[in-house]
Amino acid sequence: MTDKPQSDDEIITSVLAGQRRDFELLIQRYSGKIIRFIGSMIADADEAQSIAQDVFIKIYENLPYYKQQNSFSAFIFKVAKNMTLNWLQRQKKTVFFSRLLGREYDQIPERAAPPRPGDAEASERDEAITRNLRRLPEEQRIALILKVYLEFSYKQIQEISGWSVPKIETLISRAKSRLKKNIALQEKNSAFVLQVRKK
Amino acid sequence: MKCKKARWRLSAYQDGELAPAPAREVEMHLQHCAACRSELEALDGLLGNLRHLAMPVAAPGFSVRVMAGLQARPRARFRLLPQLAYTLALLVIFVSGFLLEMSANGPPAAPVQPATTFSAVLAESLDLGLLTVHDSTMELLNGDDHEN
Repeated sequence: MTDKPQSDDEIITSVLAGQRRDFELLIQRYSGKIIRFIGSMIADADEAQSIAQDVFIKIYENLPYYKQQNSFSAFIFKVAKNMTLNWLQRQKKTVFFSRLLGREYDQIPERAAPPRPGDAEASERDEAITRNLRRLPEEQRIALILKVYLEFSYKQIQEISGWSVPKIETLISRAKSRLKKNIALQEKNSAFVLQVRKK
Repeated sequence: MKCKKARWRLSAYQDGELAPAPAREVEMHLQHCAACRSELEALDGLLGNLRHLAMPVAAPGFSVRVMAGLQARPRARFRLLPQLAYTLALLVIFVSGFLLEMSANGPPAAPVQPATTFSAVLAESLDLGLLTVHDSTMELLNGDDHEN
């Protein structure tokens, strides 16, 4: 007979009772998803690790304020979403002031994960998708990423974001349309460039 | 269901988020509308590409690093200590400055009571040099008898 894994709330109760090391179980349970979410939002794999680390530290510090009747998953993703948006905001300011001062700012790589070795085509496609994902308005991007990469239901996305279900439906629908349109346009442009080069 | 409404609901239908009744309506529409079927296929293609995107994963030892970071941090209540110490130091400097100022100037002078009687007003005005009164007038006012 295998032991039933501890629920999130059981782990939190144990951490709050002084078993600090039990917090590592929560990190192991959520770090993959949190890094996937942040990485897809900011398209910078290294920075995603650093923000995720701060998210877990913040979660640890705020555990006494977490109400156990709510979903811990929603709680941690809410914190991750806010910290990612703060990071993006700071990034925008840095880019703005760098341009204002006439300096060339090192743009962050438009890639959520390291390139796939030996698969140039897949890597190129990943880059095009990531680039277009990054260009989506933030709310659309959050909703789409939570749905597609984290496989949350609209109801769970509502818990994380506080948006209504109809709004989430609209955000995701618009995000998909825009992505589809932009990727098709880019493919058309690439084909045209290739054609011109051949001539 | 018209195409416009069907297109609007296609994304939620694809996500499996429609309630049974609207989902049936979309399905019925798709059975006889090739354009909307093709739109759904395009959305499926997009979703496939999105799901194949290489995703970042937690670096090895991520949880150990976070735990080490947490151990190194002082507990929440102690993290406020530097701020508290700074505020206290400012308060001490302010209070000491005030006390020093007080001791240098001595205690504040008692408030001057306004003169109430005529002779007091006169005496005060004379002291301040606002009035010049002949000595005999003063003697008269003070009630001295000079008829000797």
